[in-house]
Formats: sequence, C-alpha cells, structure tokens
Amino acid sequence: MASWGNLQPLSSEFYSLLRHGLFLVLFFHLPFLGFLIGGSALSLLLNFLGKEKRDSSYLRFSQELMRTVLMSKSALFIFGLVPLLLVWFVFARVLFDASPLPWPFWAGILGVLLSGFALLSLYRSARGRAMDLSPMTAATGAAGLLALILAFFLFSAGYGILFNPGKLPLLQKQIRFFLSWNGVVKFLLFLAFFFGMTGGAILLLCGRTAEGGEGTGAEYRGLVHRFGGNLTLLATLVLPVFLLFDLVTLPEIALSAEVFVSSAVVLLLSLAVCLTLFLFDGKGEGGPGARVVFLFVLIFLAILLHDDAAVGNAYQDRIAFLAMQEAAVEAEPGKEARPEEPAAAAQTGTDAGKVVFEKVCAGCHRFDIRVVGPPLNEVVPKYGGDAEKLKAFLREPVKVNPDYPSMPRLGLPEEEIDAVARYLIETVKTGGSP
Amino acid sequence: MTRSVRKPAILLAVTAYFGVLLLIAAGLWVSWQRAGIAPDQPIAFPHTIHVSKLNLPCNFCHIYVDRSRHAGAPSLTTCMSCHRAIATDREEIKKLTRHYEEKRPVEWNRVYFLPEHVYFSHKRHVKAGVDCSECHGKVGTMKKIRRVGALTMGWCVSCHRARGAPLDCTTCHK
Amino acid sequence: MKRRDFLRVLGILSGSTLLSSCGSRKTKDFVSSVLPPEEGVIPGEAYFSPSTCAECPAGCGLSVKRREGWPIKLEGVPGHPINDGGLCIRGQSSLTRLYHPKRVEAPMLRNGDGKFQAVSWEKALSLVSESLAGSRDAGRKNLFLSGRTTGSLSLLIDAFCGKLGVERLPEFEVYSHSAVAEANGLLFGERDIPHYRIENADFLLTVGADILATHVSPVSYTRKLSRARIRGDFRWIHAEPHLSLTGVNADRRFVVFPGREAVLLAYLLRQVLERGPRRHGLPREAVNALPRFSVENASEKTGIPAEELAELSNRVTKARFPLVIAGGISTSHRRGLEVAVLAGMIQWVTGQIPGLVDFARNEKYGGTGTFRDMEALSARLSRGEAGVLFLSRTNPVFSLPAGFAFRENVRKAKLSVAFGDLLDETIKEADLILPLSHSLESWGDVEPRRGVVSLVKPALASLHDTLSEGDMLLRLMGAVSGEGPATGYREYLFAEWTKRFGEKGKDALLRDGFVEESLPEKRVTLNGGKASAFLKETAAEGGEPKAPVLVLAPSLRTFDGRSRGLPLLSEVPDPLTTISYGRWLSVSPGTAKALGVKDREEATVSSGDWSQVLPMKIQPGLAEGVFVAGRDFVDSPPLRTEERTGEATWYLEGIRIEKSGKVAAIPVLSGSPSQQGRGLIPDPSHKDERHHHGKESLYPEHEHKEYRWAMAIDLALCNGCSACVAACYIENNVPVVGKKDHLKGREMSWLRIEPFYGEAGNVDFLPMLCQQCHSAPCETVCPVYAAYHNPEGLNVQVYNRCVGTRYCSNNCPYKVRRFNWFWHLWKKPLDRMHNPDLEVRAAGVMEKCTFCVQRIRAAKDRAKDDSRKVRDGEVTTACAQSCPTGAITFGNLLDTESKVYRLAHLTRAYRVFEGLGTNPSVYYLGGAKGGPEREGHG
Repeated sequence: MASWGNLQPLSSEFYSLLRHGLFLVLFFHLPFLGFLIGGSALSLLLNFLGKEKRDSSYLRFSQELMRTVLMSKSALFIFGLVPLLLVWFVFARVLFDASPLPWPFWAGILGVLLSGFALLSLYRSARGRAMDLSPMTAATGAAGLLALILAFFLFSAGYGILFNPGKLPLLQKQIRFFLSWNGVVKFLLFLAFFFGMTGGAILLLCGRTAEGGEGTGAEYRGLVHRFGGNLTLLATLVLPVFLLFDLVTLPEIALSAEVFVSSAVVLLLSLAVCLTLFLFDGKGEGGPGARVVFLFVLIFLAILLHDDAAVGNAYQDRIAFLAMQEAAVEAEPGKEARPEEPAAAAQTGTDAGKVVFEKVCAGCHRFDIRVVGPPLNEVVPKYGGDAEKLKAFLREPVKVNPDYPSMPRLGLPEEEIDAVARYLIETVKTGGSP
Repeated sequence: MTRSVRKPAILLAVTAYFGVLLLIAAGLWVSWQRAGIAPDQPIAFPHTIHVSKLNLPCNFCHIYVDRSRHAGAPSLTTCMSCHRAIATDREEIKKLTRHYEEKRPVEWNRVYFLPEHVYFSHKRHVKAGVDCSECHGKVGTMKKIRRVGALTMGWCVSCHRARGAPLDCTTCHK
Repeated sequence: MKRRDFLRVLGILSGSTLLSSCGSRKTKDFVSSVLPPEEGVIPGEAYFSPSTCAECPAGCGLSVKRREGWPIKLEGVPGHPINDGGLCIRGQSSLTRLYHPKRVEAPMLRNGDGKFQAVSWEKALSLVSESLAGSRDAGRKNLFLSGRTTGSLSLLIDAFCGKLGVERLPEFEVYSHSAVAEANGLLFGERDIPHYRIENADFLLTVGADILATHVSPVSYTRKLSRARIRGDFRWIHAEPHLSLTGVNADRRFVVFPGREAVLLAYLLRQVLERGPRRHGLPREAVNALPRFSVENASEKTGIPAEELAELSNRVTKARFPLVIAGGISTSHRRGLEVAVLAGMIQWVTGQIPGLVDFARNEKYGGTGTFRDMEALSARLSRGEAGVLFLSRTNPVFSLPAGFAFRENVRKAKLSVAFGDLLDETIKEADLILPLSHSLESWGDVEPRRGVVSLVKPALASLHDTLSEGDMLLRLMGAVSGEGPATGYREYLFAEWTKRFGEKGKDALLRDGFVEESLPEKRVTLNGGKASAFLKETAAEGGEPKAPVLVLAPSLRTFDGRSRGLPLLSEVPDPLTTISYGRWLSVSPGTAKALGVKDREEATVSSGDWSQVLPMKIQPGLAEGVFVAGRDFVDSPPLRTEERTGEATWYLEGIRIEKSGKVAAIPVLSGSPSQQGRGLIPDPSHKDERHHHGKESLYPEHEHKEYRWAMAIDLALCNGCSACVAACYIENNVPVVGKKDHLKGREMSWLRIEPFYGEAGNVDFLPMLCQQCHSAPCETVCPVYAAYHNPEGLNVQVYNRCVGTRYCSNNCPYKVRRFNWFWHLWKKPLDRMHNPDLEVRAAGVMEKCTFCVQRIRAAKDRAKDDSRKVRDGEVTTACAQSCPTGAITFGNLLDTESKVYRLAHLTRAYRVFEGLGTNPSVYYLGGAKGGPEREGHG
C-alpha cells in the first residue's frame, strides 16, 4: 500500500482547495511581500548612495519609497499576515505532516517573518521622521530586510517541494530533501519579479510629489525614473531565465502543455515590458509606469497559472487515487477500500486451496463484494457444502446468473480443483471474508 | 551618436534575446514530449480497472517482479484466462484475442527506461520492501501508464541515501 | 542543479538535443509472449543446460549458460568423466562457431557456372536420392566419408549406409593415432588407444604425445595430470623433437630427434627388464631380439646426457606406478611403430595393464582410418568409381598432401555432398552443401571413451535453415524410400537411449548430460609370439630423417586446422610465441644465427617441389636444425604415408630455407621473452626482495567490511593453455579487434598469458590480469573518478563515467588496462553472444578486468535472498571456472576459512612487483615446475 506520508487523511477536495487557496494567497500576498522586499532594499540602497554622494535627492527618494511600499499597519495585516497564515496552514498541512521538521522550525519562520515586518516598520517610521538616518536605524532596516528574505527563502523551499510529491517520503526520512533546486529557482524567480514590479511601481507612483521647491523637481523625477526604469529592465531581462530553469528543475510529471504555454506567455509579456520601457521613456504622465505595472500583473498571473498547472500535474494521480478511494468507501460503507491479504485461512488445513484461490480465482472473485464474478459469500452456500457439485462446476463452469459474464473453463488439475473447492466451502462456513 | 540611432539597435537586441529564450523554451517542450512519459500502447490496457477495480496484486501479471531483475510482462495466456470470457466484445480485447490466436506476441512500448550501463533488479527492491508505487506511482489511477519516477541517477541515489541502501558504483553500474 | 539538467540545457542551447533526442523509445524488449516460458526459465536470470563440445573429437561435457534463450557462454560440466569442469580454448570459442556470420545458412547447389545457389531441403534431398539410385544403376559406388563419429550417430550412419547401399569408409582424422592403435593391436589384440589413468601414476614419461594441447583428450589428461601433481610425489618427463606446450610444462624435457625415440625406449625397457619393477616377463626370443644399448651409446644416439639418462632409468625402475605414453610426432615417422610397440611393452612389463593403461575404456579410435585409407579413396575417386560421395565434418582437401590430388578427384565423383557449417576447402569443392546445425542446435550423443556417453542437447532452435546430421540422414532415408522420415532424430535417440540405458538411465543422461557405464575390467595379455617376431624383423634405429627437419606440430588453437575459421582463436595469441594473427615458422636462436635471419624475417621453406613462404620466429628452447610450423600453417605439405601403420609422417626432412630479407608484420604481443631479471616469477630464493620498498601511502587505508575479493594463481599448475583468456573474452564482451590493431599494440584482452623463457629453455607462464591493487596507481590519476576502489577491494572502472584520458593505463605497472580506440561492432549474429550483465564498452572508454564483478553481483544477489554471506566457492571468475588445471582460485580474503586465504598465506605466495607497494589482490604461487619438492597445492 502506498506510503506517501502521513497525508493519508487528506481528501481529494483538500487538494483542490489547497491548489486554489494557494493560488489566491500567492496572488495577494506575494506582490505585497514583493513591494516590501524590493522597496525597502532599494530604499536602503538609496540611503547608502545618498550618504556617499551627499545628494539629498537620493535620501528623499529613499524616504518616499518606504512610504509608498509599506503603506499602513492595516495593509501589513491584511496583505502580510492573513494570507501568510493561510500559506502557513497549507505548508503545515502538507509539509509539516510529511517532514521531520519540528513545530519550532515552522514557528521560527513565522517569527522571523513577523520580526522582519516589525523591524521594517520601525525603519519606515524613522525614515519618515528624519532625512538622514543614524547607521543604527539603517541597520534595523537591513536586519528587517534580511529577515524577510530569509523567511521568503524558506517559504520558497517549501513551495518547491510542493511540485515534487515523490520527495515527500524521502523528506520524512531526511530533512536535507527540504532544499530542492526547484525551490531555489522559484526563490530567485520571485525575487526577480519583485524588483521588476517595484521598479514599475516606482515609475508609476514615485517622483510626482515634488516637495521642497519646483526647482529640484524635474531632475529628481529624472533620477527616480531613470532608477525605476533601469531596475525594471534589469529584472525583466533576468526573470525569464529563471523561469526556464524552473522548467528544467520541475519533475517530468509536473510538466504539461499548459505549463509550457504559460511560460511562453511570461516570456512574451517580459518582452512587451522591455519594449514599453524603450518606447515611452520618462515623459511624465505619458510614462511607461502604468503600462509596466499592468504588464507585470499579467506576468504574475501567468507565473501563477504556470505553477498552478504544475502542481495539478504533480498531484493528479494522487488526487485521482483519493477520489477513487472515497468512491470505494462510499460504495461499501464500513469496509476498507482495499482488503488485507486473506490471512485467516493460513492456519486452516486448506492452504493449498488458498494458494490456488489467490493464483486463479482472486482475479475475478472476492468473498464479500462483486468484482467480475459474484461475491462468493452469496454463491458458494448454494452448493450447501457439497464439494462434489462445486468441483463439477469448477471443471465445467456454466452460466448461472445472467448479469455476470460466464466463467471461463480454468482447466485446473484435479487436485487443485479439489483443494480450492474445499477451501471455498471452509472459508464461507467460517464467516465469509477470509 | 543620438538616441534615434541607438534605439532600433537596442530594440532588435532585446527582441533577439527573448527570441532565443523562447527557442530554448520550445526546445525544452520538444525534449519533454520526446521523453514520452506516457506513450501509446499497442493495446490500451487500463490499469485502472485491473488494479483499482479488481484489486489484482501487481505480481498477478508481473509474475517475475520478486524473482528476477525484470518484472516481466504477462504472457497472453494469462490475459486470456479471464478474457476468453470477460469483456470479449470490447475493441481492445478483440485486439488481444487476435494477437493470441495469430500467436503474435504484444510488443509494448517502454515507459520506464534504463540505459545499457545500468544494472537494476526489481527483485532486490521488492524484497527490500520498496512499494511499486514509490517508483511507478499509483498505476491504479492511470488509464494510460505515465512515467512518474524520473529514473535519473540523482533520483536513484537520493532514495538509496534515504534508505541506507548501498551507494557503491558497482551496485548499479555494469 | 543536477549535472544532467545542466547538460540538458547545454544540449538544447546548442540545438543538438533536438536531433539527438530523436532516439525512438520503441525497444522491443518489453514483450508479452504468447505462451509462458518453459518451466524453470526466468527472464533476466541465467540458466544452464547440458550439452557436449564438438570442436574436437575429445567430447568434453558442456554446460551452456543461456539468457532469454540465447547461449552466451560455455562452461565445462563439473564431474563430467571427460573434462570435469574444465574447457579448453577451442571449446570456449565454439560459441563463435554457432554465431559465426559466415555460416552456411541453407542447402547450396553448384549451378551450371560453378557458383553455389541456395536450394530448398526438399530439392536437395530429392536430388541426392535420385543420384544415389542413378549412380547405383550406373554401377558406381556411393561412398560415405566422415570425421571421427561415435555414439548413436555412428549407428545411424551404419543403418543409413546399409539401407541405401552406401559404402561407409573408415573415418578420416588427421590425428588418427594409428601407429599406437596398430601397436596395441599387434601386442594385445586391441587396435585402439587405451585410457591412460595418469592421475594414479607416480612417474610419467611422455614420448611425443602432446597430452596438454591436442593429444586424444587434452582437457581430460590435463585434469588428471594436475591431480597427480597436486598429490605431490609425481614426476613427469617429456621427450620430443620440437618444442610443444606439453614439453615446456613437463618437469624435465628432453629433445630427441625423430626416429631416435625407439632407442630411448628400448634402453628403458631393457633397464626395466633387468632391474625394474617387472610384473610380467617377456618371451626369451623377444628379450634377445631387443637391441642392447649401453648408457653411453644410448645417450649418444638419443642426445640425452648420460647422467640424465641414468637418472631417468632410475626413476622408471624405482617408480611404483610408472606410465609411458608414446604418441603424436614420435609415433608418426618410419620408426613410429617401434616406438609405440616398445612403449606398449614397457607398460606391459611394468604391469600397468590393466591399471594405468585401461583397454576397457579405450578412446574408441578403432574405427578411425589412416592416411593409407585416404590414398586408396583418392585412387578410387580418380578411377571415377564414386557415384554419390558424402563428406561429413571432414576437410581432407585441406589436410591431405597435394600429392593425393584429392581436390581434383573429389570433382570426379558423380555428386559430392558435403555436410558442414563453414565454407572450408572441401565444402567449396562439393557439388551440394547440406548445412549442419551446430551441436548447440541439435540433439545427439557422443561416446568419446567407451562407456562414457555424453548428451548433445539443443540450447536454441536452429539459427538458420540447417539440420543436424541425424535428421538429415533420417530425412534422406525417408526421401529415398519415398514415405518421408520415419521419425525425427530426437525420437530416434530417445528410443536408442531407452534401449541402452533404460528409462532411468535415459532420464539421468538428459538431467546430468552424461552417463558413465560401469564396465568389467579388461584383462589383455601380451602376444609374445607377435611381439618377438616384430622385434626380430625390425631394428630400433636407422632411417632417421635428414636434418634439417620441419616439424608440423598440431596447433593448440586450431587442432588440425578445423578451428581456423573462428576469429576468437586468432585473436588469442599462441602461448609459446604470443603471436596472435598470421602464420610463422619457429626456428632455434642458434640456427637463426647460422642462417643469419632476423626475427620475423620471411623465408621460403621448400622440400622437393613443395615450397611455401613463412616468416621465421626465433624460438628459444628449440633444438638446432629443427624447424616448427603449425600443422594448419602449411598448405598440403608433401607428407609421406608410413607403410606399416598408414600413419602420416608429421615432418618434412632435408628442407631448404631461403631467406628473403623481408621482415613480415606479424603481431608478437609479449614485450620480451625474458623476465629481464625483474623477478616477475621469483624462485623462492628472492622472496625477501618483496620488502625492499617502504609501503608508506599518501592515501588513507581502504577498509573492507564483508568481502575482499582476491585471486590465487598457482604457476606450477598453469600450463599456458589460454582457455582462461578465451573464457574471459566471451564472459566480458571483450571485442575481437583484428590484426591491424594488434600490430599497433591495441589488443583488448583483459587477461593475457606471458611466457618467460629461462636459460635452460624452460618456460614459465604468468597469467597477467588486473591485479586489483589495494593502493592502485590507476585510481589516483583518474580525473573523473571513473577508476575507483570499491568497498570489496575491486578496482572498479565505471565505464559510463570514463572520458578516456588514458592516464590510468599510463600509470598501471601491469599494463592490464585496455582502451577502446573504436566502436567495435559484433557482426550479426555474433552480437547474440553478448553477456547482458555487462555493458559493451563504447569508443573512447578504458576497460579492464574487475574479477567478473557481474558474477560477484549475481552471487551476492542469491546470498541476499536467503540473507547470508556469499559462501566460499559459490562465486568464481570465468577464467578460474574454465581452467583445466584448476590453477586459479578466487574467493574472499577476509574469510579465513576460504581456500584463497589459505593459498595466499602459503610461503610460495608472492605478488608481482611487490616492491612498488601497489599491494595487489592477485597472489601468485611461485616455484618453477618440477623444482624442489614444494608444499602441496590448493
């Protein structure tokens, strides 16, 4: 019987729920996390650059970024935590059960993530207050960012496992299998996506509010746009490569036409992004920001579809199996879907018969339920323990019940017929199911 | 040198870049299809019915699985022992019967492949208590058999590691 | 990222994968057969079935290893009365005859313009039956000539000839041993070769009899000999004019010029009569007629130093069970009969008949004819007496002297019908070729030794449209009588067997592959009158050939030339010269100097109006004025027929040599005939040199948990017969690469026999295979870890990992690694021979011996099934299995109970180049043959 972990109780519904749940969660959570990581990373970078170049506009940009990406506590809650808990539930259900990872490990990830959020919001508020920061606060920001990235990496690793259910039994045996190339690739892929997205967002949102004098506005906007543009371009060029690697590292079974098509779509969209960047660069309102962001939303959707399809493929036979089991369970309530190997008869003197039964009859007959032939518990008693009559039938089977296919002549040697006949009568006497 | 000159060049470069990427993706797709993880079979044998409905144990047909390195495909006499009577009206069964009567063996298309330099014994794995489904998946759910295990060296080794099976090259390489 | 994925991406990038991955997945090896395979046959598992080797008349028992119904390896049957597990080089190669690409695949009829064209069996058989009748009416005789035939087939042939009025001619064998048979007929009224129980002798004198390579039943003799040697108190002296494998393996070898052997034997016989262990006397007149020789003039005549001769006579007279065997070259010359008779008399006088010399189980050469019979046949053919001439399994056109004009005379027969498998000289002359099935494709039995019946059982259905001789004859009889074959040969045989052995016996035969009937001891008595009469009218000497003589020696690799067609036998070098391909003429160093010929220089050998060009090979240990060439190297030499015995002379006398100055390209595989003082085979005296190097290693010690596989090779038993080499080739799918590569030093043999010549002309053979070093030089230099040390002490070579840098080979002090320069193809159907447990190595891959790791794997698999360790003797390598002398022992060195452990710890045990600190796993048991009394063998 299958041993793919303690996932037994999972139902096929659970899997489909899992799939769609995951889809939604990712759809809301990832972009948010993306902004957070991308934005704060940039803001830290800018802060650093500003210090270097003694250029206030950098610092200003940095400040503005933080304000944009980490909108409000409530946003943090809605997009940051709620979905996270959902994901958390999914992983805990699939991975925790299947892996030797202890609760503290998972709690750890969650902790790291939360602390990441906390630190970043600290940083943000500090950022908001003062133009130039003490290295202390900068460090806080950096720490928060790192925490976030770490948590996200672990998240991706777990996410990677989802695509390779074959690994789950291994994962139960050794923790090392938690890390998979696919996980790493996914991590990088999403990272690239994050920065691209952030870049787009910058193009769209930043640089409009020109506080502190019209004079500086123009070149500040220039800076912002140049920055956002290059960032997006870079990300968009890198992202497809990771996507290809994803195709390579996905297990054979996870692949399908959909997966490939969706990846192709991603490629085309990225191309579109690049082109937009070149065609409409920098002219204020007519700038590429909106389009880029829009395209990136599409890219994101495509990626999610890609993953969704892959997960579907990876689990299709498990899901089918579960569905089948449920069907079976409904068919015969109270009975196991699969019978244990007949054991009772082993002690009785009819072992030879049992052997023959399993070799020849078990293909079509079971004692309890209809398979190809009728359940033996119904038909054998008709012979009223008369071995000879039964043997006669076994030698020359005749169609008795029209709603079953007629039983083939087995051409068994006499002793086997004798043995199996006695076995059948014995077993039916001793309460049917062996 | 003004932007107007540079622009088309850059655009071209970028497009070319993505073109290449697309080509690679196509290549991957082709190679994946070539790998044929679910080839058509001369007779569309449904494991779904035989395994899931009838609960036939795997070694009911693959009789050598615990005796030899090959699991073995059942001889047609095995099939006919039931199908002389059962579902004789179905198209595939008719095919089967034709094979049997014309004494033509059925040449199945392989789903699982090992290169010539690999030694693999079903017997050893079965006797070690590896469940068929761990490599072959839930065949009971497959109308047409598809390859589940990758059968790459890394795939084999990771399992050998996890189970503490021998890792010496000669275990599998010949 | 996984290595493979990375490569995959690369491949796609270069676009090549798009094409290369086109390889279709439709391999036809996953098949639902219609019927389940026969009982006990499991696909993927090897299984064995008994049969009998037909490569030479000896009739060794075979156990045929089959996979999925295809024979892939031949092994000797342990306990078989003839070969007891051993199998010679020719027997091993017999498999390549079965799968030979050039086999005759259907009946062939010579059409108008002399070309052969395939015909149906019906047509062929009807043609034969018509012409049988036709020629009978035309007053011609129908003749049936075959090679030596025993068992039921012989009976069937008689029945066939009787029914169809065909005259059955005496069988033709080049090595008919007719002189010996003649002598035995004369002395004891038994015209046959007795069965020599060498294993019970404590002293053996062989005169000319090449018992290890070609004489009567070589594997049987070899086994017996090593049993005697292992017993310890055994001494063996060999006398011969030339240098044979048998000679170099004797404890002491004497060179006696052809014709002088009689003197030696006469001298010994008298010694025995005077002071020996005489159980029987001789009639006075015989004793008087026996020529007298003093030690001096005997030694002067034979060329054996006086003291040696005295020592020899002491040994004969002192021995409790002395055995004298004369045969081969020493009985096939003018004095041949004397030699044989004197040998027989010594056997009689020393009372070894019956006992060591057993006429009850004689070797059944009674029915075998002589050269004289062939002369007669040739004459009859030339007179156009022959109607239909059947030629079965025999090649007289090649073997007979040109003078017989057999080739021309065969054409004079109304219809010559040849049974055979490969197109040899005789078959090419025939009008109709009826293709014979290989012995592995046919039913049958042979009785190579009286009372020993060995089963011939098909291991596969005929590959081509061929028939076994039995079926052929039955169908012919059917065709003639018109009502079709009465039965198949199988039914015929089963009936015969039941008649002879009863149901039980028949089943035993089918099960074990042989039946040994118990025969009553046969008491023969010397016919004193005839003996003395013979001695009176003949002298022991005179009529010696004029030097220089060219000895035409039987060939280890091709017997009388019948196995020439098998490629493997040319690939495996001749053990004495290590020449693989081509023909050559061996010449002693002295004579070479005198003639001023260089090694391998071509020269024209001529005698009378016969001449042939052969390259000269300088052969240490050969006597002056004696040239040696393989019997199969010379084309129809002008051999004379010896009047009294009908035996052919095996040498040409007074030959002339004209050197051409042209050096021929023949591949000599051994680097040097001498050890160059490197102590590869140390005599016990330089055992201590092994310690003259430190053993410090830069690398951590390997530790072995369960097994450390090791091999012990007893050099005192190894006689260089090269059976192991052939076995290795076939077991391990080692490619046959051909002469061109051999000339470039690109031979592929994993196991080779290295002959080393001592000053005294003695030869020691060193089987050299991968030594599975414990600190292996090859492993440390492999940049890709294809060569590595496995936990069981093997230097494994992972072929699919090897990239062919060849560093390992360069770093190997034993030169046992072989590189695949090309993708070697097995011509169909030879590829059927592949051992599926091994990969066939691709081009650019280094390959080598790994102690038949596939056999080890199989044994461990079996052991694991009943969860135990592999038992000692449960697994053995192909070379060890086939070794007729049992010189090779394989086992687990960690098991202190194992045989190999015991042997490896004998004081005789040493390892080659121990000074290098490679710490090999192959232990050689030194001590030259016939050296000082040694510890017992394994």
